Formats: sequence, structure tokens, C-alpha cells
Amino acid sequence: MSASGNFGQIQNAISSIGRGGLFLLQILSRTRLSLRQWGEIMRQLYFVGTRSLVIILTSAFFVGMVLGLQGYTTLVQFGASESVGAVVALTLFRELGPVLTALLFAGRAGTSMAAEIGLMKATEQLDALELMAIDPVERVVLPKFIAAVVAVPVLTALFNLLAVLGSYLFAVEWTHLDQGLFWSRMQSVVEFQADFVSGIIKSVVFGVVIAIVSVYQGYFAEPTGRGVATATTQTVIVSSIMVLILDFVLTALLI
Amino acid sequence: MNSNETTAFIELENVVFRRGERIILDDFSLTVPQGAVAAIMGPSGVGKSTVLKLITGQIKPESGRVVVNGQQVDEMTDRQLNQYRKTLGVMLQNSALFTDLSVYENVALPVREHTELPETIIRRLVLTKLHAVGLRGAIDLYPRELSGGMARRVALARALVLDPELVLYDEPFTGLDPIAVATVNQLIRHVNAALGLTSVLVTHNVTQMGKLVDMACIIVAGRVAAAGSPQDLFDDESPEVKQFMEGQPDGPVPFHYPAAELSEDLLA
Repeated sequence: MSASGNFGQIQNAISSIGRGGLFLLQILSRTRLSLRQWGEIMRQLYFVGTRSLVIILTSAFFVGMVLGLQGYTTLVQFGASESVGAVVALTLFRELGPVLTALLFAGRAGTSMAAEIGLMKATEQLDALELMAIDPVERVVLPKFIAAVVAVPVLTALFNLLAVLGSYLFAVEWTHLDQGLFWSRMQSVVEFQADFVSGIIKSVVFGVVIAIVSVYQGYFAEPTGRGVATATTQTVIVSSIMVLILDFVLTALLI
Repeated sequence: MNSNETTAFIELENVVFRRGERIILDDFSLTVPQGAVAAIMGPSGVGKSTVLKLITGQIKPESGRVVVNGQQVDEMTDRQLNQYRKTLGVMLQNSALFTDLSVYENVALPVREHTELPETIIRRLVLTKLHAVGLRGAIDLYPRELSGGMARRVALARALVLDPELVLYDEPFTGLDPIAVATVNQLIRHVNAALGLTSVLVTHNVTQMGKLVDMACIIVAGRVAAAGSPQDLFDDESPEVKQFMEGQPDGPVPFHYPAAELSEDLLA
């Protein structure tokens, strides 16, 4: 690609970050404490949160089992197999829980938010709202945004829980590790504030990023079939890259 | 039309509107009297829907004024536009019903958003409007279960539910069977007279225009080529108006989008 083409792409990327930031401010300025708005937020929370539970919890359980298996196989060589619970918990709470939940959420719920908003735009439903003097940002975008921001940390906590359970089942039921040792090692090594809470702080930031990327991609999608398809794909790509970049930045800040 | 027919309800004065380099409306002027049913006509892509978007304030002209009911729309702030739009009913080209809401909820939406009326009153309002369009029995259906004509009628009920002063229809007859066309035509006429509204429709259905409207204008090349009563337009002798009214393929309005010679393109 030519230098000018590269420059154009960089320029586009920077200007969309700016537009995304302005859109975020616009969304936040529409927050009302009305009963109707809360009702819609709850409905969206069900769609993006509750309905993501199956994929998040199933993934979490098997991730926990795999971590247990890998951790045990390595630790047993050093005679430290009883530390498997601690190793798994640290890996999960600090890194894998927030990051994997965010990536799964972007694929499961982010795409559906972007596609729904994009399709509403393509079929003139957003125009119709505007013409009825109903603000489409307040009515359609804001509830989805808030629901996603709330759902990601909660799903992360549940991911952590199920993954620990998975590793417990593997370590205790399969390898017959003493369950007292499993839990006590975990309890002595894991710090609530430094490990668990810092992971949840990460997930809050990831939630905001996925939410703004999804609604932005949908709202500014080209109102055609291909435009909506591009918006959903871009949602996954941009969210995933931003989550991974921010994960490094946040780890550096929180460690 | 009522006795106020000389009072202008909509006035577009010397409006210029460009999309990129392309000029869509060039020194365009139009007056619609209060209480009238008016049609904006012209060949496809000539800027008819642009006129509607100027009236609703979705776009602003490069120069000129758009005045509706004494208020200058192109200078309104967002808040003023919101207030103004509460007095409008708009029926968009593809009905634009909310797909995840039932027919009842679609029509009730503007009432719920803009009033604090109790549910019993909302129900009565919605049922009255749906009865007027013949779809009171369809309240529990969802937009995906409706035919094109039914969706158009639900959109009409939704446009009228807050008793607007001005109703705008974008291509209300496109894709409808003859019975649905006649029904929608009758409805537009009926609600305009019964509720004392002003109505503007964008259409290229010359036959229905002749039966329905009090006045019409034909846009050609960004300007009003002819305006007046349907009879004035049928009698107009200018070649572009005659070509449009009689649906002739050849005439001053070209069928082809500007392009190089066919032989040049094929042999390139």
C-alpha cells in the first residue's frame, strides 16, 4: 500500500476515535432517571446480559478445567501440585476472566447491538423516531450502552466463579488433590483488592469500550445490507483489538 | 379546502440545496395553502423527497428559507425542531414501523413518549386511529405479519395519532395493489378534511394525484416546472410537463443518466 494510503487509514482511525468520543459524550448527556428509560435498560440488560450467560458460563467452565489440567501437569513436576488453585485463580482474576469475557461479549452481544441499530437505520426506523420528536440516541442507543457497561463486569465475576469451579472439579475430583489444600492455598495467595477487584476494574473499562464501539458502528453504519455486515464485523475487530491493547495499559497501571 | 385557503401554511422561498457538487434544488419556491392537499411530483431522483426533508428540518438549505406555519424551520435549534416535529405526522416511504413492537405499540409509541395520558385513554386513542384505517382487528400483529398495504395504513395511523397540523406522505402509493391505493387515497382525503390538516405528498402517480389533490407542482431540473390545480397541470403545454403527465419516454426529460456514447463504452 502507498504511503498516502497508509496515512489516510491512520487519519481515518484517529478521526473515528474522536467521533466515538463525541458520540460517548452525546450518549451520556441523554441519561435521564425516568422510569421508562430504566425499563428499557432492564430489557436490554436481559438481551445482552442474561442471554450471554450460556456462552460465557460454558466457556468459563472449560477454561477453568484446562487451566487446572495445564497447571497441575506443570506444578506436579516441582512437587507443588497443591498450588494449582492459587495459580488458576490468579490467572483468571487478573487476566483471563476480564479479557475472555470481553472478547466473548463483543462477539455475542456487541455484534447484535451493532446489527440491530444498523438495521433500524437502514429501514428508516431511526429517521421515523427523529421525525416523531423522539431522540434515537436516548431511546435506542443509551439503554443498550448502559446495559453493556453493566453486563460485562457482572459476567466477568460469573466467568471467574465458574472457571474456578471447573478447575476445582478437575483438581479435586480427577486428580484427587486435597480440597482443603486447594482452597487454602488459593485463599492465602489471592488478594481481594489487588487481584479480584483490579480484574473487575479492567472489565468495567472493557465494558465501556465494547459498548461504545458497538453502538457507534451500528449508528454510523452505511444504511445498506453490506453496511450493516461491515458494522458487525468492525465491532468484533475494533473491540477485540482495543480490549487487548487496553489490557496491557491497565495491567501496567494496576500492577 | 376551508376558508383559510389563501393563508400560506408552507413556504419554500428561493431554496438552493446541493448534495456534494450536484445541485438538487436550484432557486426552488413553493407555497402550500393551509388546509390543502398538495402533491410534489417529478421524475425519479429529481429531489422530491429532499423537499420533504427540508420541511421536516432533517436537512437545511444552502440558501433560501423554509417557513411552516409562520416558523422558520431552517433556523430552528434542536429543541425548537423537537417541539415543531410534535405537530407533524410523517409517513415514510417504507412505512418504517418498529419491527419489535406490535401494531398497537407502534401507534401508541408517540403518545407514550409525548404525553402522560393513562393507559385507558391511550388505548382509546390508538383504537380510534386504527379503526379509521380499518386495522382495529390487527392490533396484536407484528410488522413482519403485515402486507405492504397494511403496513402503510398502520404508518398512517401512527402519523395521525397525535392529531398533527401537517402530514407528509413520501410515496404513499408505491407497491400497493389498486384496492390499497384507492383506500389510502380515500384516507388521505378523508383525514385532511375531517381533522382540518394540511397534507403534502410526494408521488409520481399521476392518476391518483388527479383524483386526490387540490394543488400540485412538478419539479424538473431542481426548479418548479409547473404548479397549480391538477387540471392546470393536465392542460400545461410545456414539453417537460406534458412528457411527465402523459408518461412519454421521449422528451426534454432524459431517460438515461448522463453517460458517454454507448458505442464508446462497449468498444472501450
